[in-house]
Amino acid sequence: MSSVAKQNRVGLVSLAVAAIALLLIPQVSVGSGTEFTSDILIFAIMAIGLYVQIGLLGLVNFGFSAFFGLGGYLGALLLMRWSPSLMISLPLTVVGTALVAAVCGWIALKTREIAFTMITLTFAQLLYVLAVANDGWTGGVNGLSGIPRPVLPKVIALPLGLSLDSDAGFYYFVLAMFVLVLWFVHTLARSRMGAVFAGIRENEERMVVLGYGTQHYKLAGFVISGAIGGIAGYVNATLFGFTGPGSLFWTVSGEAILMVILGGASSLLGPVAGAALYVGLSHYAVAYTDHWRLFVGCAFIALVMFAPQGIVKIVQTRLRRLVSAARNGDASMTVGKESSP
Amino acid sequence: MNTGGLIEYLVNGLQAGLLLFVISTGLTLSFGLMRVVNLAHGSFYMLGAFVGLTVAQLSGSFILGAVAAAIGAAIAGWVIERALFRRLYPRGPFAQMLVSFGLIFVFDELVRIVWGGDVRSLPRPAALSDSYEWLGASIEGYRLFLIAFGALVCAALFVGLVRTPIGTAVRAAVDDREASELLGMKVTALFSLVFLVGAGLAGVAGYVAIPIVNAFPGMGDDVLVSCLVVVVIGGLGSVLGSLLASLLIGYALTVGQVLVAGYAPAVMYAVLTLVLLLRPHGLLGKAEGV
Repeated sequence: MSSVAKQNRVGLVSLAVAAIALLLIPQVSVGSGTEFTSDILIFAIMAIGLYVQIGLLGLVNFGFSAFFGLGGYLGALLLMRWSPSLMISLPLTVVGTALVAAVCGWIALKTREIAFTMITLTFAQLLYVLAVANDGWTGGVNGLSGIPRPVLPKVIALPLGLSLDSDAGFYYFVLAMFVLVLWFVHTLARSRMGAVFAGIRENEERMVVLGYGTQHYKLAGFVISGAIGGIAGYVNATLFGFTGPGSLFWTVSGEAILMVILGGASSLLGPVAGAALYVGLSHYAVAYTDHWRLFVGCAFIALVMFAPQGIVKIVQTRLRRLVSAARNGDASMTVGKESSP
Repeated sequence: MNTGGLIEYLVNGLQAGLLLFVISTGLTLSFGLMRVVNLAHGSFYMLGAFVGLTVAQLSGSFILGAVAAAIGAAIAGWVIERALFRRLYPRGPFAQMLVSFGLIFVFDELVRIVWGGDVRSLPRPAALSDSYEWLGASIEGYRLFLIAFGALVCAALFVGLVRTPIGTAVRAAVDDREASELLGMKVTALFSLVFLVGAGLAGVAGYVAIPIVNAFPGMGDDVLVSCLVVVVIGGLGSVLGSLLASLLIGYALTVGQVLVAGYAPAVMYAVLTLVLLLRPHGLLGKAEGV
């Protein structure tokens, strides 16, 4: 019992430390540090969205860029052509991506395994082709630039003195979206629906025999996941004021899968850690060389070859080993090692 | 549409379809044999194009370029299979997909380092640069050459698969890998060979495609998606199915080009969606297997 309580306490403490660190980022970071952290959080939102399919449902979707890109375009069009308000453009973007996800999912979920993977890839490529060809709305290959930052409603903006035009203000907005999505998926995974998702992931036939309409559950997961992808796309487009067809290209879907798998698809920490590692690796590699993709590619291959369960699992086992080694060792070691992580 | 235009579209569709078949054969067979989804297959196409281009420019010989493209891509394929894929068979298609995705980054960047980021072109060889008039249609000699090349590869593949002992072994292993292994067949060795040949074919295809589509880093990323579509429509692992699918996609793209210019690839995805909904295992795929 005491070890469980202790683990809970460790978890709570690290959660509090992470929360404080994330809140302090705009105050302590130098240069583009705030924007960099925003970037990580945005891709973490995207990876969490995909995690709903890969991690919770066991559906390998290779077309997640569809929702990420669509969220970007929808948000951009709403902000540029209709209303600069956050409270109008964000909900409509979420509803829009969810609707498209419902249609795609309804068709794609008629297939399974590799066919499902391929048909999702197809939908994303279809959107890519449409975005490139239809240049009246999407700006064609050039995409849309000059997207304004959304305007917060006065009820929130005035008392906090926040505006999304500043880097810090936007960062807190991204952080809020990240926490919201993280909390939502965490709750979803622990809900009754999450239990059915796990049942489908482990053995769908058994769930069908038990009387569950598994198709409906899978579609629900698909739509939730797509809507989260849409949020990530919306935030990404408004951070940089730009969205382009590149956000719909299939390599983005591959990157999203990489983030989930790198971190590990067995817990919600996985996609977050994977996104941080991916964005971090590419960010620092860019600083050193024009050919950063070469190193990022090699790093991925090495990770998949030698660390298949994802980095979160590896760190956890390492820590556990350290802790138990310390317990068996002398008391002075215990203090040193347990406080270090 | 007049007769001439119709003939031109028939010829262009056939050329696009056969070229797609040559590129995607390696992907079809490697999936059929080992359930490997090699996303880096497009990289062999790109690598062949650049190696061939360089050799052709240095030697001034189109044919020498083609040979170099095949050898270069085949060597790359062999190394990749030995160094990476071979270790991943027990881990299922997912790990292979990820590793091959990483390989795309590596290959695209290596090509950018060695050859630079520019778009490069290669003139059609003098003997093939004429156009022929026939029933009001103007047909490029180079496209006829591509059709002949595609048909030749196609014929060689089918003869090889049906008439030679190795081809028979490959077909048996695609059909039932466990049984073939129990009978003492070395399926992994067979797979190395198939992977090497498939990479080589993709390499030559990339090289002979340059006069039509040019060569640039990342040229394989677009082609890969078309290849995946072909493999899935044809039925995973079926060579005949992938031939039918290639022709279907070749014509879908050509017809799409005529009907809805910018949206041509959308027609291809519409075809894929339709086929998967009607036949989830592809045109000639087996129901179990996947």
